[in-house]
Amino acid sequence: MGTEAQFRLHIGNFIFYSILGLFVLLIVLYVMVGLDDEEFIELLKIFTPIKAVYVTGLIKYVIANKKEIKIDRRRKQPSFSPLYRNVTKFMIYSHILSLFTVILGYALFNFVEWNVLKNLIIGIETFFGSYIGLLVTSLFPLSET
Amino acid sequence: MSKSYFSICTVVFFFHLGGVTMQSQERIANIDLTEDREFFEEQLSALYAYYELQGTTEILRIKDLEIEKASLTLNLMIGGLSDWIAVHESYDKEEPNAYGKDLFEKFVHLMEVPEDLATIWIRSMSNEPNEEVTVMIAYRDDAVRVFGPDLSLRGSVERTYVITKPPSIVTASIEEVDENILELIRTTISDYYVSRNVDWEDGCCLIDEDANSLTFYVRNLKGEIIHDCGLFCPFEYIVLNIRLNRDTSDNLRLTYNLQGKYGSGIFIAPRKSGYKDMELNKYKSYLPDYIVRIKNLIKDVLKN
Repeated sequence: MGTEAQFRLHIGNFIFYSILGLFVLLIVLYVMVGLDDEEFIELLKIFTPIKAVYVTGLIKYVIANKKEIKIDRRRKQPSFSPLYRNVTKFMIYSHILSLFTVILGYALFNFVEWNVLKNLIIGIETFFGSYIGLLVTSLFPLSET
Repeated sequence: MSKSYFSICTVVFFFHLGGVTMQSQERIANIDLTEDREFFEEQLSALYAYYELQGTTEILRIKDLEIEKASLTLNLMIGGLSDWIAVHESYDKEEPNAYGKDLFEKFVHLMEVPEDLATIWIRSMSNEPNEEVTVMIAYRDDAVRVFGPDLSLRGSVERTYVITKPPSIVTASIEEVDENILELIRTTISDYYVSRNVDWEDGCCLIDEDANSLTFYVRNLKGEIIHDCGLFCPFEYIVLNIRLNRDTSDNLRLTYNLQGKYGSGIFIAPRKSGYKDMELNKYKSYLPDYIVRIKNLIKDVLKN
């Protein structure tokens, strides 16, 4: 089941490493000419501000909780409800998975035209962005210090 | 002089229009260029960038692009007749209408439309009678034709085409020799491209032939024009036109016109509209080198 702290750590790590992975993927695809100069720069322009919002939320939480928290193991640790955990996981995993799929599909197989890909990415970001924004804010609240 | 000449040209043009075959009418009926409006408008900025690169934006301006169901018309504005002549005189090709033809070919190449659906109109901005000029460039009778003032009559260079008899030791007629040379070039170049097919997708190699020229449309090649890209190369789309001309002394001249595009992709090549023009970016310098390579290839075959 896991405690709140464990779930937070898991999601925080996932967000951080998946965003890092996304940028690494873009660089690798650029080097392999799956993306040309213009496409690479345009994708960076799309992703950098959007992803910065998530990472900023995460970093703010980390800064606000820079002191080590002593956990009293004798007391039962609070945990999130299964619904909350599942919805959060579903939204965050689907978001990253769909981004990786469309970018790889374009770079490897040119499955859609460039303009269509841009619209797909913007659509994905718009759809998931607002929900994930809410979830990230609730999962990493600044007040909980 | 220029006005009456243009009137004659206009009559000739409409006469030719009447000769369009039923087959091409059927093909045109199935085309709707208005569906690709967004792409054409995007490519218009690429065309402007090309004119900027050529340094002609001062005298040649894009007025608008008319997109209709089965025709794409580019309207350009030029200062006046003297500008039109000056542009030709500074152009590095001997053929009188080479500049107009190259404008047309670049337009068709960027817009990705069949040549017979494209038209360029160039009109003068000046209202002075001596400076007024109207030029139409279109594809008629299997060739790009420039309807406008006769530039061959201007300047000191005599451009009249005179066919003289071949030397007595040649038993075949000039036409036969030319035909054989074109056939030899056709075989050499198509064999060469077919041998360069990429592994992941069959490269396609189309040849468009008319009386004295060959055009090769080669798609989905890698490392052909951009030859030093190492392990990871972009896909290339090459349009190579080789025209055979004879000068007044029956000397053979081969004119090469190369249009190159590139597109991203690792396994599968992009669609035709997904390619970008090489002349407008960092790959521009590769084009002259590639023409030299093709020239040498043909030279070797013709020598043997």
